[in-house]
Amino acid sequence: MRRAMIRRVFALMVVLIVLVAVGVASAQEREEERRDMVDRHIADEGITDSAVLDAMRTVPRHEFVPEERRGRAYANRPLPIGEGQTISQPYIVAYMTEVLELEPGDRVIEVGTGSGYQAAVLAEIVDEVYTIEIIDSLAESAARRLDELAYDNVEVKQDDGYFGWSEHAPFDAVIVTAAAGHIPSPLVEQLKPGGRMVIPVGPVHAVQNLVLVTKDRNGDVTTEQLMPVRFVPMTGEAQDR
Amino acid sequence: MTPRAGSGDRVTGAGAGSDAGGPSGGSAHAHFSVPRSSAAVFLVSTLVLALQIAFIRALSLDTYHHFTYLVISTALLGFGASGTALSLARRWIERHFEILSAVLLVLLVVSSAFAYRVAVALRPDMQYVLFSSGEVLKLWAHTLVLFVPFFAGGAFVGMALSRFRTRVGLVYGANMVGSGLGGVAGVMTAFVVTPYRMPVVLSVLGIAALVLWVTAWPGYRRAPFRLFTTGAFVGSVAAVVVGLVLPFGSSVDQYKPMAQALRLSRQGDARHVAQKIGPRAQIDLFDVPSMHHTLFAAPTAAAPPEQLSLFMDGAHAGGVFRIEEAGQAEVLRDVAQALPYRMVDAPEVLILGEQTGVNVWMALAHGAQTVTVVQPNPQLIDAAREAVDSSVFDRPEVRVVSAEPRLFLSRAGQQFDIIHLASAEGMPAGSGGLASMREDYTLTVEATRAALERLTPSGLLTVTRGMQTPPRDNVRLFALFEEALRTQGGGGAQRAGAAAGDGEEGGAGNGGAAQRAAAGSTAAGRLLQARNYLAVTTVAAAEPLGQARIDRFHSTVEALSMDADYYPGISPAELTERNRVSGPEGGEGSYYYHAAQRILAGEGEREAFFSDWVYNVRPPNDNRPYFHSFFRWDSLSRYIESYGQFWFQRLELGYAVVVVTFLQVLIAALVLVLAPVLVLRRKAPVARGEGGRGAIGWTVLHFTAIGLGFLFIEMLHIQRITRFLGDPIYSTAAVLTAILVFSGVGSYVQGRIGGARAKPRHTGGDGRQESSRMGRLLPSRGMSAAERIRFGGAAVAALALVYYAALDPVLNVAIGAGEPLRFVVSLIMLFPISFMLGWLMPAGLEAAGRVSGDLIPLAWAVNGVASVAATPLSVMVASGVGFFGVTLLAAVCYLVVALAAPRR
Repeated sequence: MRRAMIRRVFALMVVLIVLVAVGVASAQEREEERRDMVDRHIADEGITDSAVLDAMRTVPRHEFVPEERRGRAYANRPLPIGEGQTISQPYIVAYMTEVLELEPGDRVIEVGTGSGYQAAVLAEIVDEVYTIEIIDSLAESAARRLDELAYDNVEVKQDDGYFGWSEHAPFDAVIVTAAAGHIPSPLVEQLKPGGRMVIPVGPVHAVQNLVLVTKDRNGDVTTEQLMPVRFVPMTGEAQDR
Repeated sequence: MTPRAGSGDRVTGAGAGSDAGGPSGGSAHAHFSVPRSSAAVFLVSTLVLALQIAFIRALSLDTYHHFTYLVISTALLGFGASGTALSLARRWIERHFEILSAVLLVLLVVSSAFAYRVAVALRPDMQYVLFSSGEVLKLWAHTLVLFVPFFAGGAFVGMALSRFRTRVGLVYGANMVGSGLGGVAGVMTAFVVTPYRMPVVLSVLGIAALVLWVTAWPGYRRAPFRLFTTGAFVGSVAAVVVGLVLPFGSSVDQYKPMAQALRLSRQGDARHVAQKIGPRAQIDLFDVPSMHHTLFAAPTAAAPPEQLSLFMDGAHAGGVFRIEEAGQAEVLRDVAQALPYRMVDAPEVLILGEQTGVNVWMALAHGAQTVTVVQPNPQLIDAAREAVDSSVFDRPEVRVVSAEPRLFLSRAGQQFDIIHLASAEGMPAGSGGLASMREDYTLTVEATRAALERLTPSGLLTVTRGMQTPPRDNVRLFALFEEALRTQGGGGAQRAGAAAGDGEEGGAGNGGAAQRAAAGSTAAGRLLQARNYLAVTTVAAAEPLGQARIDRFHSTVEALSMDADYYPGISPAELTERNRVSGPEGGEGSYYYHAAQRILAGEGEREAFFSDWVYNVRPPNDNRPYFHSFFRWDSLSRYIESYGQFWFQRLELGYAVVVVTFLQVLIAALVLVLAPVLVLRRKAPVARGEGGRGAIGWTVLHFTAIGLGFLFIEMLHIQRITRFLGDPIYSTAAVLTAILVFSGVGSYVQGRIGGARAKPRHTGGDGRQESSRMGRLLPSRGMSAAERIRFGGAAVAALALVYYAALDPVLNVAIGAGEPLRFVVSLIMLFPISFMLGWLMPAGLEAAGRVSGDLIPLAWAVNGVASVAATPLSVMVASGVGFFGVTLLAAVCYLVVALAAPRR
């Protein structure tokens, strides 16, 4: 009886060890994939901001991708996440983050949370991230995911992102990850003097222009077209460059 | 006996319906009523064409232009595939003719009722289809399901043509008239039934055809057929009833904007307010507080007012403002479209193609005295009117005209201070789909000249359009306005001459581009172009722009946070950078500035610019009215080099979709045509003796040529008469119906002229024809099939060329007449060529059938495949070399038909 018990405990321990080993190996493997993705598709493509590169190497993208698509999580490609939305191509996430020229103490607002991946990348770099998602199921799942991954400096709200988040304004940077027909003036108003906003503007399901909006110290606003992209509407994200 | 002698309206199954091989004897098919069978063919043809419209409507609502085009084109290959199947299994099919034909009708009814529902379940993830083989498989399965009813309908008609080939004129006539009325039936049904329910409702026609078909055959009353036919009828009715009773939820693709509104409705953040169904589009209005539509607003503009979101076929068409006075929409003072409105005081405004009324509010906000709105879709205006308590379209200053913008411009009338091309507004198509290959007769040189003629002396023609990167739409618009101004005759030429003088004078002070421009082009003094971060506004003036107006342009550009890219006298030193966009390396200013300078620098430089530019930005004209197509084959390597593996996402996908569709059809054609050809070549009696193998080759040639030619001519006339009649939906339906019905009449008449009067040299004792090769006709009087083919082919070829030269001048004489008269003129013009078109299919079938019944299914397969291939081919030819090229190609097709006709 006792021997049987010992055998059972031993078998259980073996199973646990195997599971842990497989988990560790899998995590290491995914980390390698992530490093490879950053090296080949982001650093080699011209992204040089070390904070952005480190963040991209740290955030586990596969955790933000639906179970059935996880095998492709580290391809340089957008992936569907349900509700008519996609998670961005990693390069675009890195590019949009870089053009914001973020500093550690910055406060950033993101419009279009989606899976929460972009918010996690921002949270690796700055102190405060506020992210708004209009689809309640996406907002809920992103909040839960970010909480599980211990991103305590991210706050998620289900709401209309057009009007920003006035309680936490002004922001050092605004990032819009949805195709917008025009630049929402409330977001411009909530941008600090010297702040930067990046937003894809143009028709949905076609090529949009990624636009950098800069507010100078006097509050004057100028724009600059950065590159053509393709975003899905409202809460979608970039697909390619 | 002769094919018809002694049979009256009935044709013996063993005699008239088969050749030497004949059907199996002893079955119950003693007699078939040919008129009743033809009526069944008529109904099936009506159903199949109406079903095509129904599927297009449903797919347009649920998916995207290019997807719809690809799927429908592939599904229509069902016709060709049915001919191939008939060809490969002809003997077996003939042995089981009665049962099989009824089974096909049941399949047609059931698949019509359920195919779309099943296809929705199989639809791939649109954003992922390029990256996943699983999604590609789903795409094929989805298409295959929609293929089934076309296959069943095509096989049924093909079997009827084979069976009753001595009465082929009547059967084919029924097919054509049915198809013609199918167009009308489809359009009319679309007004009263939602796209999802249309296929189910239309499948009732299949049940009627089934009843006619089985009652055309007396044997159906005998056991065991009675049980079968009763079961078929009950089963079909049950299928339709179930199809109607089962609820239809929205299956709009998850990535379409309306899907977002539906999602927000489900979570309580939006409300579906109204819906209008119709053949042009399904219009839906949602109250979605989180959608804030105002095209091209400046970053610092006020937030747009409360609005309803209007969707056309699931795509966002704009907002309907819930305001009572223009002053309540402060944002409209700060949009790029406002540029010309700030340059003219109290204007009389014409807005072409306005959809939701936002531009009307903007005109009123800038003090417009009157606003005339021209919109071809009255349902759109009605929807916008009914959605709000106080519609801008009901204001006393506003007049709404329901017409095609081009037709409105062509007819004499009022002049305006501002003509605003709102139909060209909106965001550019980009790679958004097949829309890039649609003809647009408002954005051609001829249409622009017509608009310029409708301007008052101080008038402005204006268009605002979203920016593309790299630039193409707005560069083409500038080139279009430039060419229209440069080639304007009469008063326009005088104005242009004055413009040149003004340009030189105006540019003297600046010493810049204006002098060069004025020297190279008389249009230089009458053009303006400026952009904000999002859109470009291009303006052409009726008269030369003096310094005062240029100064006003400058102040307006600054007030709207825009940057000027062209005005008479512009110099590099005056360029601003409020909105930075890319420009040529080492050059000054943006690409728009660069393009304007080169377009205005004289013919040589302009031509060099058009040749250099990576996209095709030449101005479109009525011969090639493809404003939205910018693709250039010779730039392909540059696209791939610049954009890498996703280069196709950077282009207007329309052209690529057309090419891919054509190639796909071509590959399918090889399989669908070669398979029966290879089988027939080994088969007696076709391959044996005089005229055997030649007959196979002739069959392929003849039916390919008429399959292509018919569609080419149909396309040409739909285009030209639609412009004459105005409403694209009604006129397309009317023209399509007229061509097909007149062809059906031609088919019947040619049968009376020739087929009935010719008889075989030898007939067997059982009435079967003994002829087994081409040319065994012995005309007693009238025309043989060969003679009808020669005459018909030559007539259509000649008429195609005559129509190209004479149709427009004749139509222009009547363009000022009322709608009824224009409709009658259209019918009169369409009759001769359509009538002759109807000769060639039945005469060809008759000639082929005289050689061997095996050739008839082959002919059906070839014709089906060629008809499907003709659609993308005609678009490719029209966009490449213009409609004249399509005309020539059609004439060549029919000339080949005439020259290749059998000798006797």
